[in-house]
Amino acid sequence: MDKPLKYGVHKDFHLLTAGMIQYLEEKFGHDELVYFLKRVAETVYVPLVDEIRSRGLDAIADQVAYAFSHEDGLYNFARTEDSLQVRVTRCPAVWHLKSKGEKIPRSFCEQTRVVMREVCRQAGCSFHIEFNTEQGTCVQTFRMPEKMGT
Amino acid sequence: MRTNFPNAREDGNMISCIETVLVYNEFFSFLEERFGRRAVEEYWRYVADTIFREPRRIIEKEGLDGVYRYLRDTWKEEGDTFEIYRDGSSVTVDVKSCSSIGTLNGARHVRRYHDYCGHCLIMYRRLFSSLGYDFEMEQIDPARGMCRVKVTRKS
Repeated sequence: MDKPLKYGVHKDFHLLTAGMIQYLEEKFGHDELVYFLKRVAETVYVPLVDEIRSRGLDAIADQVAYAFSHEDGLYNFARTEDSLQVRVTRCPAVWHLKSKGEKIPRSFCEQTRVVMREVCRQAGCSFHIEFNTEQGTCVQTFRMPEKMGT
Repeated sequence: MRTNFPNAREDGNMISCIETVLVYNEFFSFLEERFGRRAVEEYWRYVADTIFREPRRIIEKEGLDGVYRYLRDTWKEEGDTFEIYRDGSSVTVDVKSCSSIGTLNGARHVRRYHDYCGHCLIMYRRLFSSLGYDFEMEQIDPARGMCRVKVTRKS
């Protein structure tokens, strides 16, 4: 079931994120964008890596719930013991950019793919994403490694 | 006209995009390390020219009233603590506590870019200058996020 919305975030910060991605890719190339996003995972998201290591996929579920409940986003979860699937039906960033009439950078959703893949690699789980940038939807799948002997 | 804005996040009504501030800060460090300080300043000018379309539209339409409204509404929404005044030719903002600096100071795992506050000076100076205003910024205590900015209509 889709979650309810709350308001109160400076959503124009999404314009800055889009601008960073657009600028970096256009001026310095896609490889530099990926390099930067990996660096973000290694610096900004250190607390999330630590949380996943200690609490498992609940840490990711809490992170998504917190961000989306404050950012006018819609999503639902499918949870098993070893996996978490986040189905985003309205990405708040894409929707905000659209509401402002902004062009969405070609590699906008790379931020999620690269950052979360790197975060999960460091935390010892796997990550897969299928996204549709134009529609502002995606399906993110997180899996913990299988336990020995199970 | 004078209005006080306490930090909106403290009363639970306002939450900024905290991650964006940290990523933004990292971006400045990244650009400088990979391509030099010139690349950082070039990016700040890019933001002023390409991303600040909405404030540009507001100020072009409303003049000094637009300057006042844009700064008041944006910085309030970001969660800053400040006082804002205006007279017939200028708008002054006394920032008591910048929310972005507060976020950076609270993120001990992130190394703050040495001139984080520089982005405000260069971006806003370029924006306001192109619209017919002088932009001055006095960094009172950058470590604590205290500054004073003044936007004055060019005579």
